[in-house]
Amino acid sequence: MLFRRSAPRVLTVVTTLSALALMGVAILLTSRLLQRSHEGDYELVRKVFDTKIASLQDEAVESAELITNIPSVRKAFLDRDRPKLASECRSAFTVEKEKYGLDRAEFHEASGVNFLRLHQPEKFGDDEMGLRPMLVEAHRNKAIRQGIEVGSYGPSVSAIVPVLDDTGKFSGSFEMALDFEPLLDELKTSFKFEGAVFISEQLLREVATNLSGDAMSSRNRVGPYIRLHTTHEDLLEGLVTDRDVDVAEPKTYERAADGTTWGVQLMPIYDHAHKRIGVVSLAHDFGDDDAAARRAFVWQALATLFGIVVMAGAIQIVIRGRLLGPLAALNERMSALVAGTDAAPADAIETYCDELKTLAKNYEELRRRSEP
Amino acid sequence: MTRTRVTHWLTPLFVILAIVVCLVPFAHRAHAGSSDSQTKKAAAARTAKGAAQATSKAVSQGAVQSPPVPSKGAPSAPSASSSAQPAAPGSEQPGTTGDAAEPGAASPNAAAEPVEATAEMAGKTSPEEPDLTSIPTGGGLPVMVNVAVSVIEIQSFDDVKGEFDATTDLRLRWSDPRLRYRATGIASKYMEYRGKAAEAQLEKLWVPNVDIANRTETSGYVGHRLRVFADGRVETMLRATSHYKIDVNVQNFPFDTQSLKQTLIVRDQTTDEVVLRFDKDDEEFSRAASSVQLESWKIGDVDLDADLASGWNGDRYSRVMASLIVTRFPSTGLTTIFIPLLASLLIPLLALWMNRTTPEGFEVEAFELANVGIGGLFSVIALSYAVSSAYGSIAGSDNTVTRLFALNYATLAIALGVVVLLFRCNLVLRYFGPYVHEQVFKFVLWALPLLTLGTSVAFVFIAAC
Repeated sequence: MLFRRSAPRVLTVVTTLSALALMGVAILLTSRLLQRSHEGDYELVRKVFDTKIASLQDEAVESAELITNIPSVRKAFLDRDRPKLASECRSAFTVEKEKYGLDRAEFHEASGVNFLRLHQPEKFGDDEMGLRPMLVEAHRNKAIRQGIEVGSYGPSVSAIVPVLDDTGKFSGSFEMALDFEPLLDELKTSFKFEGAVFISEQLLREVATNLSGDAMSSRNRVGPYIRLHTTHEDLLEGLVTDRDVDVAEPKTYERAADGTTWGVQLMPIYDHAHKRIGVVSLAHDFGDDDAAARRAFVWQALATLFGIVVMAGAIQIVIRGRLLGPLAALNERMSALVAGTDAAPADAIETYCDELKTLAKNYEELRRRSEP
Repeated sequence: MTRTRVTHWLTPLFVILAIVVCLVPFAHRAHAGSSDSQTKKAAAARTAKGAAQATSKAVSQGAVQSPPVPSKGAPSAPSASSSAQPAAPGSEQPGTTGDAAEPGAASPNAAAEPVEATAEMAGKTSPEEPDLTSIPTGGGLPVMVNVAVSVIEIQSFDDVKGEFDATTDLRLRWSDPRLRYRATGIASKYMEYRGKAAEAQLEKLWVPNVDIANRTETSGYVGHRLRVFADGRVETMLRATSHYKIDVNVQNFPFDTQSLKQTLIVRDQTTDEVVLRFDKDDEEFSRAASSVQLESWKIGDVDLDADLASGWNGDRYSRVMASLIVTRFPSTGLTTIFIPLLASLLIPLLALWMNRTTPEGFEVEAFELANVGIGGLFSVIALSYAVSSAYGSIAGSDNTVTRLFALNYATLAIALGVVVLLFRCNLVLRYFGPYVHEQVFKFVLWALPLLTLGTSVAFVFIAAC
């Protein structure tokens, strides 16, 4: 084994491996950083959604209380004057529906029988107590109740406010329900989240009897759920599949779709009675982060290449040029001297390193002595 | 005697009254949008002179059907073909008053000649009726205007100048409660106007002052369509071929994606009055037609994005950007830019590869190799000028091409430095001896090409990321 060949090779390999290991560490750190950033993003998504839901609930309660405290509305309800009640509330309902995504607004008698649906005035008189636990609880406790619930028109963020007569006797309730769709649209506009709401198919079949037929189509079926609202149907179809959707705890994952990487946050939806009724998915575009990570990887690889080349060059120049090259030349000359042939003089003494200078001097001395 | 005289006068009065009573329902039916008693009185009071005048006006406007939207301060009349009767401006909510529409009438969006009675009231003004050109406050402020843009055709896209020509459909939707009218049946969901009729109607209505900030000129056909729904929703559609200016970001050239953007902004009205927004329906509408093609570019989706523009004194103006995303085919510019660039990278390397070490120094004269390097420098400068003139946007920004040019210059500088210091001055030989000199030269021979190649590949990869 020639030291001249093996030594630089070993050093170069070791240097290369070290540089690659450093690069690996740098990549690992970058990916950890990215992962932590994504975790922050997921947390933000969850917080935004929770805050929005809470805000919607407050909004529903506020609006319901405001309506029930309008004297004319209150009087019409207490008098059970349905036409007057409808005419008093129609304008407010229209504005709320158009501007704030109000889905339903209805008055219930104390018995739980529907007195007036502002969104469907011609339909009343049915008893929803059997299907609406939140309504039952609001009437039983004669107190405000708010939360997510699946009603006959599908899921919504609802608030039920009791209406008491002048003697303080419970006379019925007023309910306002806000749809999920404006919420998802708002999240998309403000935060660029693509979202979808998945509700248990079984529950929808039992309760949401007024839901439009096409909502329950096979295309919208995802596992045991029906995808009811989505901001981007094609995208969400690929991002949330049968295997992903059924979660009991918040779950996150990344998936490539539509030419980019999406961070998907799945969150179970619980109704007023804390029963899991579905899942909401919010997808955040991680494409920019991933592109930045890829660019960082390329820069790190390039820096590593420069490091390896420079180190290999240094090894080559120092080991071969400074040490082994002069040594080989001296060896050659020494062999010629021993063989008695014409030995060439050593190179200029200052071109040798200190360790070789003595050897070169000694060679020169021997060569001079051997000269005739 | 007195009784006879009274009877004598009362009889003709009763006859006149009976005729009037019989005629009122007919006059009433022919009356567009006259749902309240005040309007009925006004309609009855109008003369045949006004009717004739208004008819000619309506016909000259090319109305395709009866106008449901009242003219300024006066209700327009529905045609006999219409199934809906618009309420007078400022009249009651739908369903509370007003005549029932005629069932089984023609589709509202079907073309129909305006009948005389239809236009009878057009152009008439009643002082007590509100001005429909004012901002609708019935639903509260701000008025929410939904925006959607569909791209019908892209005529051209000049990524150097940052300009494109496109034919687009701009859809605006809002609600004006003053325009509500009572309608029955599926066919009467909305009333539609096209072309000049739509333009004429739009002049009588409040329309959000939405401007396209980056549009420099509009050419060719401009088509209008207006739909007024029974519940007061208004939908306008504007098809226009226009020229737009955009910012082109070529940082990732040739793997870049560009946004052919239309910046829609509300002029004059702040966010307190008008807000632009979009919902799922608008996003579904906003797409490029399947026939849209653009040479060297792949057509993508239309993205909508909303934000606010700052005005004076803290005013904010609503803005929506509708961007057609187009992705460049990476092969674009391969032969014209990248192959010459990579070829020119070889020139300084050739200057090194052509030489060979000797115990005395080098085999080839430094002067000859410097000539090669200088030639390479001029060729890169020439190529740089060619690219600058042909692709101005590329030359003026940080991107793969400019980075490769920088790499070219750096490689040339290093090669010339090697030629001067190593070949001409023999600095290494002089100070470190022939063995170091030889190894330095060998190192430069393989390291410089490797680093140059690695860097250029990295630049391309970074652009592709």
